[in-house]
Amino acid sequence: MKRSSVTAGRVVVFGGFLLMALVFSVTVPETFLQLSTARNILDQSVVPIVLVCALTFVLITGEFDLSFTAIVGLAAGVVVLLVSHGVSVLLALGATVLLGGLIGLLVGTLVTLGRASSFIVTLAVGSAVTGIEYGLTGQTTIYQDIPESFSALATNEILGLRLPVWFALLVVIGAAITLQATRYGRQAQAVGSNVQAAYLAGVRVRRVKLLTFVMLGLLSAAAAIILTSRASSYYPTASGGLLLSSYVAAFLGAAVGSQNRFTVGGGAFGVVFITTLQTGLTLNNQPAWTSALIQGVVLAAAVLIAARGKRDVA
Amino acid sequence: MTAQGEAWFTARGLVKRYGGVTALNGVDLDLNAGSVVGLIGPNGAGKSTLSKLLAGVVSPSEGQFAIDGEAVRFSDPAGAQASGLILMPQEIAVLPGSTVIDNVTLGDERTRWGLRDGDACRKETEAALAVIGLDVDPMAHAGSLPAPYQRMLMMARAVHRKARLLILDEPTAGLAEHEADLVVQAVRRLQDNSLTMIFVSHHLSEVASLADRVTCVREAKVAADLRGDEITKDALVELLLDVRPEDEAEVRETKASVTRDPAPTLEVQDVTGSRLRGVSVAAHRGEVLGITGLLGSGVSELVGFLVGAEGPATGAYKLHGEALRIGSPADALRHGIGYLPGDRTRASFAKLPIRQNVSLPALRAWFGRLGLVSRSREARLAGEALDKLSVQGDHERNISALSGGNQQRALVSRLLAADAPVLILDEPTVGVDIRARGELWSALRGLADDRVVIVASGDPEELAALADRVVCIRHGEVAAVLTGDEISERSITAAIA
Repeated sequence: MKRSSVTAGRVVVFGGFLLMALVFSVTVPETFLQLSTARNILDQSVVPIVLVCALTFVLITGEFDLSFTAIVGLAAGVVVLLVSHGVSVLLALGATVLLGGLIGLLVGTLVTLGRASSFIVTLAVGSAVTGIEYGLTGQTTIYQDIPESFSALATNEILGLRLPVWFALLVVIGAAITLQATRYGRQAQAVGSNVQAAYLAGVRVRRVKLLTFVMLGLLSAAAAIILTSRASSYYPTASGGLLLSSYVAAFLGAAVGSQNRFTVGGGAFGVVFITTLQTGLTLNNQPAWTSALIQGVVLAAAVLIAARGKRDVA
Repeated sequence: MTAQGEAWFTARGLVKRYGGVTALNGVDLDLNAGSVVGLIGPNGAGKSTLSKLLAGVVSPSEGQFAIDGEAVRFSDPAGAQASGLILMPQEIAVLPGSTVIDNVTLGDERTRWGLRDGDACRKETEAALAVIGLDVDPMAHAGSLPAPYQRMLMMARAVHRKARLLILDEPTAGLAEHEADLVVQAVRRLQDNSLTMIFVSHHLSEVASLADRVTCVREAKVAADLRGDEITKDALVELLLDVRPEDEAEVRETKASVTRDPAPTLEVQDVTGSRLRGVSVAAHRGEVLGITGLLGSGVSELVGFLVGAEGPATGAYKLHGEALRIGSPADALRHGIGYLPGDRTRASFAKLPIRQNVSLPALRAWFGRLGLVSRSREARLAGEALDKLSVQGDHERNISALSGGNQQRALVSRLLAADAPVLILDEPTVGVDIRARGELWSALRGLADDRVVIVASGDPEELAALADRVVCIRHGEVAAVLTGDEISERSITAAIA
C-alpha cells in the first residue's frame, strides 16, 4: 500500500513534468529547446526556491504562513528605498534581512504565544505588512537612482551561473542538511508528526516553531533582494504570484516525497516544475490567466496525491 | 434499605456483540422502585455496555426488556428517555454558559403557545433542585458551580424528566471526598423519592454504603449478585480480584534483590491542583515506585506535575534535596527526568522511523547543541538502546509498523537513550500482550538498579508485580503507602476504591 501510493505520486508528477516538457518541445521547439531557456528557467526559479526551502519547515511543523510574500514585498520596497537614497548597499542588505527576521519573529510570537490559528494570524500580519509597504513606497514603481553595484548582485556570474543561482543552491543544501542532520531539524519533524508527543518528550515546541518563522522571514527578505536587484527596481505587485507558486511547489514536493512528506529537494523540484510550466506557456503566447488556472489545477492535484498517500500509510 | 414490591423493569438474556467480540453475554436484570443497584466489575467486563443498552445508546443483539410487564424496544436514547430510563454519563454534560434553569429543563422545556414558558421552567427547576437537596441560584451559570453541583444538576435534570431509572456512571470520579459525599447524599434523596438507580463505580466504599443490591459483571456475564447484609466493602474487593496465588509468589522473588538508597532522589510535597489535595511523594534510587488510583483520582495530575507538563498542580519539587522549578517536560529532561506518556498517541511519532523515535531526546547529548547529527553514530547508539529491550528488526521502519508491545519497548528505549536517571512511565503496558508485559516488567525492574523508576498505573496487578512501594491515591489524597509484603492486588484495590 505504502510503496505503491508513493510510486503512483512520483509517476504522476514526474510523468507530468516530462509530458509538459515534451509538449513544449513540440509546440515551440525553436525557443523552448534552447540553453538560454534552461538558464532562464533556473534564474526564474531562484526566488521561489529560496522561499519554498523556508516554507517547507513551516509546513513540516504543521503550521501555515500566508504572510511571507508580504514580507517579500515590504523588504523589496525597503531595500530599494534605502539604496536609491544613497545608503551603502551592504548596510541596506543587512537592514533588510534584519527587518525580515524581525517580522518573522513577530509572526512566530503571535502564532506560538497566542495559540491562535497560524492561518488567520499570518493572514492578518500579511495584510498589515503590505499596508506598511504601500505606505512607504506610495505604491509606485521606484527605478531611479539605483546604484550599479546593487543591480550587479543579480547579474554577476561565477562559473557561468549568476550569483542568485549559487545562493539558491546554498540555501537548498543548507536547508536539507538542517532538516535531516540537526537537532532543530529533527525536532521540527517531531513537532509536525505529533506535537503533544514532542512536547512531552522534552522538545521546546514554541522555540522550534519560532525559529521556523524567523527563518522564513530572513529568507523572504533575501528573496526580495534578489527580486529587486534583478529588476533594478521596485514595483508594487512584484511578490504577487509567489504565494501561490510557493505552495504549489511545496505540495508538488510532498507528492513526490517518500511517504508524502514535505522535503527541501521536493520543494525545489516543484519550483522548477512550476517555472517550466510558466515559461512554456509564455513561449506559447498563452494569455496570463492560463498560468493561474493551471497552477490552481496542479496545486489541487498535488494536495490530493499527497493526502492520498498519507491516508495509505496511516 | 431493602427494595419494595415487584420488579417494574426486567431485562432477560441481554447479549451484545460488536463485530466478533461479545461484550455482554446473556445478562438478566430486575429492578425495583427505590432500589440502588451497584454495578461493579473490572475494566472491559461489560459495565458500560450494559449501561448503554439500558439507556438506548446501543441496541441489544439478543434479549428483551419489559417495563411494567410490557415488552419494550428502544432505537435511540430519546426512546429510552420517553420510557423514563436516563443515563448520566461519566463526562459532565452540563452547558457551562447556560443557567441552571436551562440545564435542568434542557430538551424538555415547558412551552406556552409555542414559546418557552420561563415561569413554569423556573418552578419546575426549583422543584427538581429541592428533590435532590441542591440549593443554588437557578439563574447562576452552570459553569460557575463546583464539580459536584454540576453532577447534581444532571441528576435534577433526570428528576425533571420524571425518570424512573437513573444510571449513574462513575458519578464520584474526580471528586474530593467531601464532594463525593454530596453526590452520595443526593443519590439517597432520590432513592427516598422512589427513583431506581444503577450506580456504576469503582469506588467500592460508596457502592457498599449506597447499594441494596450489587451486581458484579466479569467477562461479559454476571459473576455475582449480592443483596442486603452480604454487601460489605471487603466482599466487593474480593469480587473484583482475580488473583492466581502462584503469580504473586514468583514476583516476590524477583523483587527481593533490589536495594534502595536511603535518601530520596526525587521528592514532591504538598501538591495541590484541581484534583489533588496536598499529596507528597518521595522516590528513591534502586526501587520501583508505583502510583495508583482510580480514574479521576488525581494520578494523572500528579504525573503531569512530576514531569513538568502544563496543568493546574502546584507544590514543592526537590531533586537530590535541592528545590527546583520544572516548567516543562524539556526542563525535566534537562534535569535528567525522562517521561513516557501512557497513551501511545501522546508518545510516539507514528510516521517517523523507529530510530528517530528513540533518538529525539538524546540528540543533544550525542551531538552537542548545534552539532550535526551523524546518521551512522545515531543508528548505532539508538540500536544499542533498542537492543537492551530487545526490539528487533529494521530500525528504519516507521514505528507504527511494530506490534503494540514492541512499540512500547521502543518507546522505553527512548528513555534509555536519553540516559535519564529518573524514569517516569505512565501506564507502561496498556495494550501490550501478556508475554510482552512480563518482559517489560522485568526490563523495568532491571532499570531500577541504578535509577529511579516511577510507574503510574491503574492496574493493581501490574503494580503488585512491579513495584517496591505503592502510593495509593483516593479522591485526590494519599490513602495509603504500601511497601514490601503489604503490596498485593487485594490491598491496592481496597486502598484506592
